[in-house]
Amino acid sequence: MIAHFLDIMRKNPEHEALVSSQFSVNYRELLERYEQYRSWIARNRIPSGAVVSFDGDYSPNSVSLLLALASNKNIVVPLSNDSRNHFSEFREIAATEYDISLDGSEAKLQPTGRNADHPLYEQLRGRDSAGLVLFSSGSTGKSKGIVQDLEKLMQKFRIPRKPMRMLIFLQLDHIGGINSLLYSLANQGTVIVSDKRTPSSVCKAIQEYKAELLPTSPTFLNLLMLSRAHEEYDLSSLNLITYGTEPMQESTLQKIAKILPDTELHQTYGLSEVGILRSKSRSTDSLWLKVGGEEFTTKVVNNTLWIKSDSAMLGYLNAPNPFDEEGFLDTGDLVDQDGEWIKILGRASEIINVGGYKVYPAEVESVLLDMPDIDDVVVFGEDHPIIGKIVAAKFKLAASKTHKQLKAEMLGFCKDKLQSYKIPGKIYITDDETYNERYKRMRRKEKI
Amino acid sequence: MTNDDIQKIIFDALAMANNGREADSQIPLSTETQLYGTGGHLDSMGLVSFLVDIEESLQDSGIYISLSDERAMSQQNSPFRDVQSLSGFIVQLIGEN
Repeated sequence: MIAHFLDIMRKNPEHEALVSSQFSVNYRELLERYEQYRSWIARNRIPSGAVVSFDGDYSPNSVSLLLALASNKNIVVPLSNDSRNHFSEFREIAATEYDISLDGSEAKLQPTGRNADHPLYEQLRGRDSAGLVLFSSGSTGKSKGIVQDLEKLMQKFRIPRKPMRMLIFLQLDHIGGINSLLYSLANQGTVIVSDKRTPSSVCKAIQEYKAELLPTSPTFLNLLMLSRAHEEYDLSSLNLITYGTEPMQESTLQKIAKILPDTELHQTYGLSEVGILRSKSRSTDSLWLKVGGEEFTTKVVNNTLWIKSDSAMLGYLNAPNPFDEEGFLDTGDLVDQDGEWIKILGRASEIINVGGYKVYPAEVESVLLDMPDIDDVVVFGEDHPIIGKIVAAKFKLAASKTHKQLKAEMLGFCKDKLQSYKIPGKIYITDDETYNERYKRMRRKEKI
Repeated sequence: MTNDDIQKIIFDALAMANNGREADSQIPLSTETQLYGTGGHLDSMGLVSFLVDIEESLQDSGIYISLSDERAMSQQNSPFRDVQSLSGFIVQLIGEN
């Protein structure tokens, strides 16, 4: 499958492949870097089948290294700077055998001495496939390692589609980011990287590099309208906005359709576990969509969406097999159904969706419990008009503190332990019990 | 509540936000400080927490208003641009309350 990608990339060598304010490379230059990394991998004797992590965001180096590792049949663990605080945990779960750092001009290689012999890895090695490990937060607070057959993920890009100038919004360690990158490489597209993911930085990059496609989240679109960055920049090149990762508010969709009347809006649906499904919106301002495509089958059981897919993950490294006997996976997403159309309503569980980022209460609670003078704490979501949900925490204190003291302490304590979106924006102090008679934490807002 | 009181509440909320920021990215407490949007110190998550802090401080003074609402989002000039515009927005909301 890698060969197929390389063939397409060689077809039009002068075409721009990857551009930002920091770099601009065409396919010839990208392929040259790919060859350099091939030699580097050979020189450093990284064997096929080895589990290799690399850190870094989109750049000519990270993209060509990813391809070179894939062609060496490695099991690749991309780590983006967004999750820097979790690097060692992720490398531990994936049992990486080599860690590569792309920080700085040269790649630095660190053999770890680990032996990655997980049965899922053996399965990949058995079929001589390159692999990919992505992470999702686990409901107990521990991240789950998701093992994908990278070549199966690449399969669906064999069918040629329209080359686009695409602004990449999600990182390399997100299924959406990987999907966007593969789409672009397989179709001689151009990947545009903005300096930051703020509305003004994204709009600036759209204007400067004439982006045609923006894959993003409903929250980003909300923030875009709030910042009014669309008024400062020329977004007329934008033909298509795709949005996914969280439920879209009807009002947001209608507002954005009004602001960008010439841009088509298209809902996508995907999960790290099954990949991104091809989907079709009923109309540009409709939340009803049809998901599937050749390689996907769906069913709705008790209003919850189940998916079976050829490109589904092999399994979790550190969690039980979630597939039913027919090979369907419970997405945990509640849906409404109208014939073949579905509408995503939200998560069935208590996961807090902060602007498209999933926050698991237990993970935040486990950090907060390490703070001094804390008896107990429960974390839950509260509705927020701008970002959907905000993380809130209810503390039971062991020593008296003012609300402001506690918040200041918590912010200082969490800053190097949790990504910013996981840090509670709202806190409460309570004298009541924070758990019920079965010693289960009560994460319900009305108990405050 | 005077304009000075409102400005103090905004500065207190900025000082609170600074607790969670590294030494080299502290937000200056000044009426000129750009908050959100081009050149602003706050990202989206930062803005949300910051507005919550201000709402809570106002509640301590018996004023119950929501800053992060649909209306603020649909205004021609974002009230969250800088300290001054936010301060004016709060005065306006209190006046209507």
